[in-house]
Amino acid sequence: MKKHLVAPHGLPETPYRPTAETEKRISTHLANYPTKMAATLPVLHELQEEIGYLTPDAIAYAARVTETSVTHMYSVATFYTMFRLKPVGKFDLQICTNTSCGLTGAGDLVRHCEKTYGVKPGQTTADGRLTLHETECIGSCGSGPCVQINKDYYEWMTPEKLDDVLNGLFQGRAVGRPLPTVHIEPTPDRVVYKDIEKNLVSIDRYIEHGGYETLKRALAMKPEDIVNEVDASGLRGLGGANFPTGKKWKFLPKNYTGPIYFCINADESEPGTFKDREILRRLPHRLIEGAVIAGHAFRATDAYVYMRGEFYEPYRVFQQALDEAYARGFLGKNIAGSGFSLDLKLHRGAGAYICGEETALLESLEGKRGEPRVKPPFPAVQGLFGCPTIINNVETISQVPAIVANGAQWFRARGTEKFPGTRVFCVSGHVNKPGLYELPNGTPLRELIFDWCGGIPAGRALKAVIPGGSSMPVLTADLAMKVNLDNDSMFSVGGSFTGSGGVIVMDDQTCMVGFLARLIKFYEHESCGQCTPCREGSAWARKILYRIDAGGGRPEDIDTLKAIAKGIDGNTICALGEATAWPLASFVRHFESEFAEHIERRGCPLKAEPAGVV
Amino acid sequence: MTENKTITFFVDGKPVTAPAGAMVIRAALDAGAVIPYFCYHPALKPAGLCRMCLVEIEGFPKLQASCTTPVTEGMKVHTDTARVEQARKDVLEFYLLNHPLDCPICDKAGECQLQNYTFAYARQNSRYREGEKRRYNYEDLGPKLFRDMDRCVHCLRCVRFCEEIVGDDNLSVFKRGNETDISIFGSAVVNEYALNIAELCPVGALVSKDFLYKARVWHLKKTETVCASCATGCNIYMESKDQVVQRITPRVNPEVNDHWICDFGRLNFKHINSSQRIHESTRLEDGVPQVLEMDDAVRRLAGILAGAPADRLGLLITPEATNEEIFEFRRLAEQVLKCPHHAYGLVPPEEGKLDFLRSRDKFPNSAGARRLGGLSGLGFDGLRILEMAEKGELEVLLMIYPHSVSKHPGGEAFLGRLAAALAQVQTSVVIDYLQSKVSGAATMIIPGLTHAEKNGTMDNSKGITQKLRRAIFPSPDQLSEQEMLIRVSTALVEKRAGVTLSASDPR
Ligand SMILES: Cc1cc2nc3c(=O)[nH]c(=O)nc-3n(C[C@H](O)[C@H](O)[C@H](O)COP(=O)(O)O)c2cc1C
Ligand code: SF4
Ligand code: SF4
Ligand code: SF4
Ligand code: FES
Repeated sequence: MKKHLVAPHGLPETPYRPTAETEKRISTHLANYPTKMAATLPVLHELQEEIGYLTPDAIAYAARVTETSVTHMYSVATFYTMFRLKPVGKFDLQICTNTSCGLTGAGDLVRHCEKTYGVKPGQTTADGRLTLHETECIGSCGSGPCVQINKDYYEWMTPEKLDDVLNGLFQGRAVGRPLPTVHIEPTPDRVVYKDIEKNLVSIDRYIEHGGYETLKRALAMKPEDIVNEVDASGLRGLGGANFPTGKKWKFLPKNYTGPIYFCINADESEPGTFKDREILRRLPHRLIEGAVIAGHAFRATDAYVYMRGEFYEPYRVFQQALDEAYARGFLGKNIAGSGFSLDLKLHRGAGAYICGEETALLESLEGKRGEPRVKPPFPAVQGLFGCPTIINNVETISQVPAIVANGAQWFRARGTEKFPGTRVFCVSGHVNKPGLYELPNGTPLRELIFDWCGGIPAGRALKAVIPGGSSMPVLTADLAMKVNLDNDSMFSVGGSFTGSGGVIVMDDQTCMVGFLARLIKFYEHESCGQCTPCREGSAWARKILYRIDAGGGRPEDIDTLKAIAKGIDGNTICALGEATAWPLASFVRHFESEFAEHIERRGCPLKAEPAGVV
Repeated sequence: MTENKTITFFVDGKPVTAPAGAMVIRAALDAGAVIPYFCYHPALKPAGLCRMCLVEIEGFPKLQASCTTPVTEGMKVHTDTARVEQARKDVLEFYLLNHPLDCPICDKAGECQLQNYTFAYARQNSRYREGEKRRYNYEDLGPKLFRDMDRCVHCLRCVRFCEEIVGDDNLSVFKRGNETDISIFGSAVVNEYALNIAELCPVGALVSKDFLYKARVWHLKKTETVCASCATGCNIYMESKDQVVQRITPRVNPEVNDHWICDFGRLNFKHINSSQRIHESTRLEDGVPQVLEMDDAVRRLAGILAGAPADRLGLLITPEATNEEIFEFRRLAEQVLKCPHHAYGLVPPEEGKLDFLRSRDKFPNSAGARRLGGLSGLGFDGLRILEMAEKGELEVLLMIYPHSVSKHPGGEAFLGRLAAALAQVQTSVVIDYLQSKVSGAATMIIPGLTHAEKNGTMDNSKGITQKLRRAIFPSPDQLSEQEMLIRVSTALVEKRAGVTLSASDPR
């Protein structure tokens, strides 16, 4: 008989009281939402910031101020990985070991830290200085491997550079800034990233470069005309599903006079995707301008930017931009004298990829666990706080000012008939020049990899490409050479999609089993757990893949993996199911012989040690 | 509203009408189709979690969860295609990966949806080769429930029930994904309806501590009866084995209790075999109790009642009684004994509800007592009788179910007064199934039957007359209260008329 255990959680006797400053910030958060519960995440963030982790009495305090229950708080706190229920070291080192960082040496970093600092992932050094964590994609794949130490990102890491950074931190030395960050290619005819190199972070600089001019014009236009213009432009959502934006806006109920919410999805967590972060930290006003125009177009009454919690620096920058925009009258009441009012508020996530899924995002914004909702009803009918809601990606909305300024025809001059315009492709992995490339939709993938990104390093050959963020089916080198970066070509030729624009490139030394194992571990980790095929299937597939990788493969594993993918695909509540099933099925299908070889030779033919264990 | 509209759709080719807006699963099940499910529950909001109910709907590229898809006019639903069967196999296989398969020691075995579906739909052999299964600790959720998370199918019926029906979130979901944990934080699951969860749980993950390891469910004899613990009169099954009640479970009745019963009612069967039961008739002779045969006791009771003048006689019953008992009590009091001092309770029963189910009135048959006896004698104003007894104005006092006087507000005090007053009464007779202060002070005691041991009817607070059915048999020479009352009346009438009615009595 197993041991009978009583739930170990007890509540303390003395109530917790944060400092006056924290309390003040908490009351601002509470005022930001129509319900107190919606402030759950921000309140927990504030308390963790103050204490270092969430103590039971902090949880009880949070429950009190949000008028929820301790059970609710604990249930939410345990959903999000950023919330800690135990103390960590002074420096919390999070090494991203997901796909792209894995391809560029994150495994070496982990092994190096284990050796140098004597801790395994999850452990803290004896002196309490350092906690080592392996983490999932932190949205900085083009400058990987990337680590986060407390709030800061450190990109392009090598073991030596990481030692430098850590020693500096240990000794209280400031790390020399600016640190090298992701490469942004100055491609011609940019729209979203136009002038990104000109440092337009301050509102004055942005206005000097023509910023907010379109907003003023748009506010004089009839809302319907803007919606029609965006619809006519053929702009598609760039968050992953590529749904036509104008059509989505038109789903809002007609003759409805209640509140309409607008959520801008800045969760950017799809492995291989790192474009939105650069908009948030370098071109915040373009997004704000787009948001007000869009809000005016579909008569939004309140808007939120849902930003992934790991983005501390973009959060700070963007918050400042918001303050400036309010101060100049581009946000708030009666914007630029037009009579239109819109509040745009910033909401931070707390470490859950699933919150990028639009209905999970809504749940999370309401202060709950990020569990996707059953659709229908679709958010445009019943979304945030039960009201009609539009959700769009950061990049999608950043396209809007230029479309309104120049017209649908101008926008359609680039890209393809069905996927007009340009978009930012995020290239990571094995290319000479990883980074961000704004190019017309329909650009041949070959051109992106070989012409723009300088091809594969170290004279190696191309082996595989995931063309649209890690959730999309993988392409073999052959297929990758044939497809263009629009969904017609991508699907008909390659059986894949352009998704979020994250292009992950793998060279011929990449072990497909190890890569897929690590990727499926990500999906297992990020499954919200609500529905069975996703929760159970991802864990099962991960176990099989790691077993094959470690040399314990069985001949029937390949069929089982295919069956698992089939059992998940189409049978789940949200698209995370497909996001697991598609890579799983496509890797096994396209590289079946490599999987078979792994199984037969009891290990990887390419490398000495198992790769999945990066 | 559209709700009154009906639409026609097709289940496996058969036309079916359903209210517009109904979910496919409900409409299809009502039409006789077979769709397996875990998370669906007719009284809970649709959740779409388990994916067991997937069906094929023409025009939809993916299979659809029938529990979250509303029917529309002309919709063509298929529940038996190869794709649907495949999906059921797959989903079940996913469930079984981590399931302990400990049916031999699981209380749910025999009424477990996972067990049933596994037999009906699952693949013969699992392809799981990973050895290790997901393991959780057993967890004590408080005095009522016990958790074995290993068996959980993550349907969240438990959490949704607490949230949606009871309005209590002590039981909740923690962590996420493959580590999801259904548990508590700080406070145990102690709400008044918590044991419904043990039924709602389609598997043996949340089990009733009370029923734990008591019996295998296929050995239980189910009797359809009603709860006698309050005026709501929830419809229940009394489930017994070898003449011992093992558990009480709810029986669906949308007009009364929907799918639920309260924990008090569910556990209110312990008195049946308790040491407080009155087992034999006794009579005080010179202060020493003498055991009587039941027949003898009833005959003596008739004699006692006949021996006192009607105005020095007090007769008290409570709404613990069935309609049939009340009827016989009234006949005896009003027509046979012509006794003005008879009552159906000490004070009028309380009215209104404690919450969505429980009544403030703890008596099961106040409405019946009101209907059949409320206007005769003193009605519910039995306090008069108590006062008369206290003043020594009564020679004989018959009390049926006096222990239940404690159910009146301030009842314990009444019970004390009543017991004390018996000192002023020459002959006091108690008919009851449970001992009390009053039975301790009476000069004669006759054992009665619990609600598990008799047939009858009772009116609930809505005025619905419901059937009480015998779930277990009393000892062979035990008479029911109704029978006792009939015999007393008959004996008295015979005596007065000088005839023998019993000879022609068909009973
Ligand atoms: C598992 C999952 C994760 C997602 N993550 C993101 C994300 O991080 N950012 C994003 O903009 N969209 C994400 N999406 C897509 C959103 O659900 C939604 O389609 C999108 O935000 C809509 O905006 P768009 O039409 O402008 O693309 C995700 C979808 C799924 C299923
Ligand atoms: S598919 Fe996965 S992430 Fe989506 S709702 Fe189901 S369990 Fe949650
Ligand atoms: S404990 Fe039972 S009712 Fe609750 S989620 Fe698990 S299987 Fe469902
Ligand atoms: S609510 Fe009343 S009738 Fe229903 S189970 Fe509880 S005590 Fe019995
Ligand atoms: S019954 Fe439909 S998903 Fe569970």
